[in-house]
Amino acid sequence: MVYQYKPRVQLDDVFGAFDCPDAGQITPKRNRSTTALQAFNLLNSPFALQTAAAFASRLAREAGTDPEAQVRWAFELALGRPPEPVELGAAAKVVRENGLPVLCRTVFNLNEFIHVP
Amino acid sequence: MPGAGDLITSQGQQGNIVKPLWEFKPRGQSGKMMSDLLPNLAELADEMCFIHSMTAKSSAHGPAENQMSTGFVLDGFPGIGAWAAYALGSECRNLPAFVAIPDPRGVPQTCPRHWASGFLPAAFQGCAFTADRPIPHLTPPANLGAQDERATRDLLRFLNDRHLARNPGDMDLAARISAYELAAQMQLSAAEVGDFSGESPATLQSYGVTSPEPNKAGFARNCLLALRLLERDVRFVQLFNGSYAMGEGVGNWDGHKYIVDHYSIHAPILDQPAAALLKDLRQRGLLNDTLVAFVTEFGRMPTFQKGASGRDHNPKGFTVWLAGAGVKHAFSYGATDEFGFKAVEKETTIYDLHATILHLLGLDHERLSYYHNGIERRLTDVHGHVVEGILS
Repeated sequence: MVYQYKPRVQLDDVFGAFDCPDAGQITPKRNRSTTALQAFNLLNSPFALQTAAAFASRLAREAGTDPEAQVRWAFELALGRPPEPVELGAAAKVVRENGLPVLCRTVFNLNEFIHVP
Repeated sequence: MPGAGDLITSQGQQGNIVKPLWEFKPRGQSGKMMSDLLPNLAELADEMCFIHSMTAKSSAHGPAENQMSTGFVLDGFPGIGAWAAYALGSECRNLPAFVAIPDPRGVPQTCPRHWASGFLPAAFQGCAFTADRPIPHLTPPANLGAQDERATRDLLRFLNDRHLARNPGDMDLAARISAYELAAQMQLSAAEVGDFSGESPATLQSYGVTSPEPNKAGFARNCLLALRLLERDVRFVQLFNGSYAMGEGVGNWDGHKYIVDHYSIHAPILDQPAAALLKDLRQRGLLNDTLVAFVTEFGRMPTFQKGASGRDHNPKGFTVWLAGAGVKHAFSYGATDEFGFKAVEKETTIYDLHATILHLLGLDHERLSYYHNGIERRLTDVHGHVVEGILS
């Protein structure tokens, strides 16, 4: 998220769980928490699902209808690397059986996407 | 009251002093005088440890609510439940360590600031839900099938495990994987804790869950939810009575204008469910290691406001009570003047109350601190003394 409408001291519905400051106090250094509520937000919040759907539309538009091409492009865009063969196989299976938005929801919940070691 | 005509409180001039509007009678073995406004709670007078000399810094709801829950009148400081979760961690594998339960009618004026983690890590923020409104985003959207959800979980696990293997020894990654596992468990346990079908009809009736009055039944369900959370070792539960948005006195205890009419609505919503919760905590043996704090941001004036039939805010002397682990019971500490206007005996501050609560949780309020923006911050700022006189 680059820009956000931010009422002071109102915790953002999704990003509040990710230590997004509530702007009640200045925040020279942001905390980094890991909680189960973050998982709920990224898996099930309308924001996350809307974003996953938008990502799926973009992949379909830019990578065509081949599930493997869609997975390759998803990995490049979200993770900045091509999938390894076993990853490509597992992810393409999800696209074929469950649809592209389900894969996109999964990608947004990957540790590799959320967390920079 | 002498000089009352010159007294200016938050909404202006005062009228006459007005006697208690509900009769006070001796209750329990102790004979503690309590009013008929809350008859069920009054029956439990012997369980209670009253502090009659409480004082607050502000006579405006926002700052005063902030002070009672976070120790500071300004915004942005961690709630006392967040401090407790930060200091003590979680005892519970599959529920949040700190749960805030807003009133069925709505949230208090300063809303999530009561349970925010402020500058403490978000892991310690209160998770707000009620018996009727579960944890936000707890369940997958309806249009997602069970197979889709399983495929998501399996692929996540597969890809995350490979990622972890590429980054050995990264504790943050391992923690993130276990957070997703906890989330999966929480979907089940959060549904279980709010499922009252295992409770006896007598229990449901004692709380008032079966009341035809929806706000009372809703608050009763929240009280029973609080009990069930504590039973499952949730560390800190903050239960609210009254809502801000409905307006002054209408959905809350802010009885400026029509105090008899308004309190006659609010008292039955609070009384039976809260009394049942306290009684049930005792019956199920939870009160031995649970502290109950029944508090408010400030009290009300002994006078009516000029031209009105209600009482203005009064932070100069009011009552809170504690019950349970570590405090004397059937005990009264401190006093106001004979008008109930000002604390005059053993004057107590919210800092003292917080220091005492932390002490009862096994924590030294001067040593529980978190470095933020150049200062080791405490719940009690640079104040507070444990109220030794109420410790059992």
